[in-house]
Amino acid sequence: MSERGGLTRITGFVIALFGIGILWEGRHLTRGNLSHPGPGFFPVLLAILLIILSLFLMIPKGKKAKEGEAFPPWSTFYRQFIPIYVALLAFIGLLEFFGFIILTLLFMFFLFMKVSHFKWYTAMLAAFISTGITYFIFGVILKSLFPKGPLGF
Amino acid sequence: MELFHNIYMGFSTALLPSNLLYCFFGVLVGTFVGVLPGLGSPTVLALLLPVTFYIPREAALIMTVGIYYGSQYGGSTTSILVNIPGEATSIVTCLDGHQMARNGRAGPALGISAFGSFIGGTISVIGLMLMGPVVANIALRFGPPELFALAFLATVLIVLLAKESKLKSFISALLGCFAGTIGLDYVSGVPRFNLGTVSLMKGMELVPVAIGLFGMAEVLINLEQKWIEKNMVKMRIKGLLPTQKDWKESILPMGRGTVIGFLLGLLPGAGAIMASFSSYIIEKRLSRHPERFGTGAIAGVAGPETANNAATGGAMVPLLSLGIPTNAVTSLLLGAMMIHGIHPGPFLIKDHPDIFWGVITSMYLGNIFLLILNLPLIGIWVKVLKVPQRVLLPLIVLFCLIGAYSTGNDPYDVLIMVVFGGIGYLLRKTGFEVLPFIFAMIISPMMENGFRQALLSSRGSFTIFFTHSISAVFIGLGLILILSSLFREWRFKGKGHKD
Repeated sequence: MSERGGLTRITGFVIALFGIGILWEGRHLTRGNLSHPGPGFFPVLLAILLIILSLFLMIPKGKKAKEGEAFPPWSTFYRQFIPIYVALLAFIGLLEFFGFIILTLLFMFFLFMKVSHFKWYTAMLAAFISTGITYFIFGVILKSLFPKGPLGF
Repeated sequence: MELFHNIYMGFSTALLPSNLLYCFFGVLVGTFVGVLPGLGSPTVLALLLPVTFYIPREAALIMTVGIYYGSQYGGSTTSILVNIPGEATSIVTCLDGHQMARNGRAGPALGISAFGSFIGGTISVIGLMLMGPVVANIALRFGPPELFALAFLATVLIVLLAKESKLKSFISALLGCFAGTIGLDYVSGVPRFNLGTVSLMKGMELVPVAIGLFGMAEVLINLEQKWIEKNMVKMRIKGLLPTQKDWKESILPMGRGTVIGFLLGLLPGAGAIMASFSSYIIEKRLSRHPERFGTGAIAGVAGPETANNAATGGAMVPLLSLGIPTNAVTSLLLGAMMIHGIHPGPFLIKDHPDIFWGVITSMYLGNIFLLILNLPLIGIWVKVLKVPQRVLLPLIVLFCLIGAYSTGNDPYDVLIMVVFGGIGYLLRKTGFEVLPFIFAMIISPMMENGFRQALLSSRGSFTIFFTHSISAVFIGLGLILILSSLFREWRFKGKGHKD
């Protein structure tokens, strides 16, 4: 079993599980019948189709099908993706508490350090400028209601 | 006479100073997006959807449509100068456009590309003006079976014309359909799959989902790539106006490119990419000197660049007349219209003629803006290309965050964006296309309601889909396409043919 073929089979398995999950979560919805299809009718139909098609992904094939792009090495995940995702989730969780300006400033500082590999003072300057401009456009001109922190902004 | 009245009405809307300004802004942003490799027009359109909340709806639509066709103009600049397509639709332009630049003819390559884009874009708008109302008139007769059949056929086309595995595209469409069912059921009002949360009762908001699938996923994809050392042509670009000889060699490819582009633009899933490739293949076949293709033949730039712009006009026909998007960008345009309470389809032309004709006529003006803009701004675009992607990525993340938050001033929407960013990344990495997902998510309510209402009215008999002639044709065509695809699959089995 090639590594890529294995990935397709794992994907098929996950999709089959997802289909079963839809059936489970939708078990309380009325399915009705053909003459009176209820709210559960269409999702159940979709779930059954998903499960059937996922089986085709799980069947080993002799020929090699195109399976998307190669995954990056693990180091990219734990050095880049995971810190950025953790920072994003922290941003969401702390937004209401710290307010938009302070949190965005910190978040952008982190991104310019982590992604752009700026020196700390360049990253700080870039974070100030980007936060200031976006707040001016969205908060001042377009009047978006951003959450305010303990300091009132 | 009615057509002239409509054109007059359209120009009355499009020529309003504010609308002109938004049209200009849209095509400028579109060109910028097209120029930048790795930042596709769906990504930027998704990021800018929240901005449209704050501006009048006509202006919002004129601007978003401008981004769409503007991006087709910009894509060629990067293909010609850097040999990296700014947009997928300009891949084929790299072949001869960049060779022309290497031969010291970057100016005429950029010039003919701009003129071709203008000609293709403008003529396709005429096609849209003539064809749109006719299609909309036919669609006025559509009932639930026809609406279901139309959604079914469009989904089949999107799936079968997928670049990658058709099986995976079908699964992607089914997942999108499921995402479209989340929230309150339109018929009974029962909440579905909201996991007990109030936020999901309203259903999956298009904006955070689109920003996640396109914007955030794009950031993740770019994060893992090594920074591309751009192969910029280092020379002074001069002589943008093509010579008489260039025009002679380009005029027929432009004409053919317009027809090919418009017709392929009408088809869901086909669109501008297929148009540009088809145009290139046809020009090479018809050429007396096919050996020149790949070495800097101007016809290899003129044809495809005209075709991909003509496809944008073609793609607007099913969008405005039937409410059926044909690609990722038109899916987002449909979303933008729905956000503003406009439901594209046969009733758009009847209920909002000012918007329908205003958007169409703005495309004329936008194409003129683009022609005027493109040639003098080449120098600026060259400078833009030198901005490192690693500087842009944090800014894109910031726009993703603000865009998702602005949808409903709810951190929950940001969470949806972040989750769909991961899903979009995984979909792409495992060979599932995003287009069938987002298309199906948008079209799913129309498909489900058409299906359920048709069955209700026929008391459970599936024959209703075949006794209505239009519905029978759509479903028959969809089934024939599926069967022919399966047959081709079976026939080529074992020959290494892609599934």
